[in-house]
Amino acid sequence: MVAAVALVLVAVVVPLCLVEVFHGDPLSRLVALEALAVAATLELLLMSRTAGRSPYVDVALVLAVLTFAGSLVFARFWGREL
Amino acid sequence: MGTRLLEGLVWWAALLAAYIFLVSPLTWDEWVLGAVLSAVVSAAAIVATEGFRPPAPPRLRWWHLVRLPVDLVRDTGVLARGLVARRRHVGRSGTVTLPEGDSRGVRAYADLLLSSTPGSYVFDVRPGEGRPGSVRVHRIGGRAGVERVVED
Repeated sequence: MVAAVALVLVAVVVPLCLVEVFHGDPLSRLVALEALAVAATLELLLMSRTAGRSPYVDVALVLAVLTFAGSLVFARFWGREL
Repeated sequence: MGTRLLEGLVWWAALLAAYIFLVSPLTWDEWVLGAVLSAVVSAAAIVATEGFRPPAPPRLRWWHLVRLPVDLVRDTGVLARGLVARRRHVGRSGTVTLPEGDSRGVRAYADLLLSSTPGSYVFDVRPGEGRPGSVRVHRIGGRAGVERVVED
């Protein structure tokens, strides 16, 4: 029950991030994309719990690692642009 | 627009494939969820990376690639002759002026092309700062064919 409520609460963040990704300035887009990845990771973990499907934990783990690597790549590009 | 669409399709397919690989077996609603979310995420990623794209190289002309193997063979011969003759100082440095303005893409492309043959390598890159940029090269033979196409 708690996981289901958390699933809905975190899901509210996703469309807000998407709006910023599609309409914000470049830096806001990047921040929104990172926030979206964090929300998606939490969603996947909660979905795994509520649906009883353990493979979603693997997806969350892969996403978390790729988000970290992606942030470093973006930071590298920003370093060149600024 | 076409390139971005193609890029989006490639990302969509890659994301969906990763999802299928990690979560299979999938129920039909998971298939739909995966396809829709992959599309949303690939679109978001492409939009978010606007402005972060690396500089585009100048248009690659097909004869650049034709000259490259010719220069490879010619420069290898020149280098081999220099080594056999045990000459200590072979070649000289020179400047290649780039055709377009101060573009990192042009400089990177010229650097890569001019350093890809054994006869020459780039040891300094000078941004043009408004004027055409240039690269300093060391060459062991005469001017390589790739130098001429870079200057085109």
